[in-house]
Amino acid sequence: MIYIENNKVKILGYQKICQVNDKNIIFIDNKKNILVEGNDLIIDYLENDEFSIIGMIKKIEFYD
Amino acid sequence: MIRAGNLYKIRAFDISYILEKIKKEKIKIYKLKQISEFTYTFISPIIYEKKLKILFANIEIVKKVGYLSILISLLKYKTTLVAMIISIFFYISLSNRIWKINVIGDSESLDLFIKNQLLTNNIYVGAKKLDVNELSTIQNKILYVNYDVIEYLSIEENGCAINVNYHKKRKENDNLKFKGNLYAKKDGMIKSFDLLSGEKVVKINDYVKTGDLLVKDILTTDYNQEIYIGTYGSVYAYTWYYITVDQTINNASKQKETILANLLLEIKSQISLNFTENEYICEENMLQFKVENDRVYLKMHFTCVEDIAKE
Repeated sequence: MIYIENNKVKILGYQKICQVNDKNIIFIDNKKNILVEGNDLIIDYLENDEFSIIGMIKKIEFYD
Repeated sequence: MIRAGNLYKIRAFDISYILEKIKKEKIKIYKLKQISEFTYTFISPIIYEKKLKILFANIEIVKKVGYLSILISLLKYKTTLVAMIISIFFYISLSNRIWKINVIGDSESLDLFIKNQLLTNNIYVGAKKLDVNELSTIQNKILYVNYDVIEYLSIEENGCAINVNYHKKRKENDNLKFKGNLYAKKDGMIKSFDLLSGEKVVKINDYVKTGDLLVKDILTTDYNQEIYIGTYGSVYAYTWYYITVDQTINNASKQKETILANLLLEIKSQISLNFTENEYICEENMLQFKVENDRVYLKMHFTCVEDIAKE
């Protein structure tokens, strides 16, 4: 599940994080690839199967 | 806000592999970011330090994060731990002792007496501190036993110091003999009054002659009632003396200065023969001095301060 809370993007129940850099974060959630694009992106918090992203988020895209 | 953690740096071609392992081991991480193409940093609580070092051989700790981690790193060393325990022990034991006693009062002879009284009641440098009730009891006990010598006593604790304030017992002025009206026994100009009782009739800088009334022994109220109060004290005034000496000198070869010095000494001692504590010669002027063969002629003027009311 992915939702936006204040200035964070929170993800619950992800399968795998594929890529992390300051402009893109790609992860797999529910067999879908999700791309979070922006500037100065940081994984603020990660524990078990939930994490949150902060930074200047421009867009979130879903791919099959 | 993380209270105790480490900032780690790790080099990885594929970050997903690292994150998989972290997820599998249920390790918490914060602020994961890429700092260069294959280098990432993140913060993790101190409890996962061992696990991370086992999982990733190339992981580095950049710095400690959080106020608790500084304390924990200090306690890692045995010497720090021992030093902390010893200092805590000393602080507790020494802060429960008296390290200074201040005795403040109006009699030097009583200072030592009071210090001895405190000693007999177990108040001394190095002794254990007492609570407020115990101090109050000791204060009352010392005051009760020595009521004829001490008028006021207070014992207070201020940190590791004891402050003792006291006043000596004051003696009442009994056996005072009051007199009647005070009259001037000499001519003079009033300088000052030192009276315990009486109503002044003259004021400062008044010129008075022998026999003038200076202080009355009766007080007249606003309702014209007369109350006898008596007089007690002194009236100081400026008085003047002209002294002329015309005599032969025994040793004619003595120098003038020596003759003069000897004569002055003799004259002054004669004038001040009956002077009391507050009377003195305040000015002396030489009017004439001549030594011819075996005769010396000296004329002096003295201004004195005397109690003109004394008998």
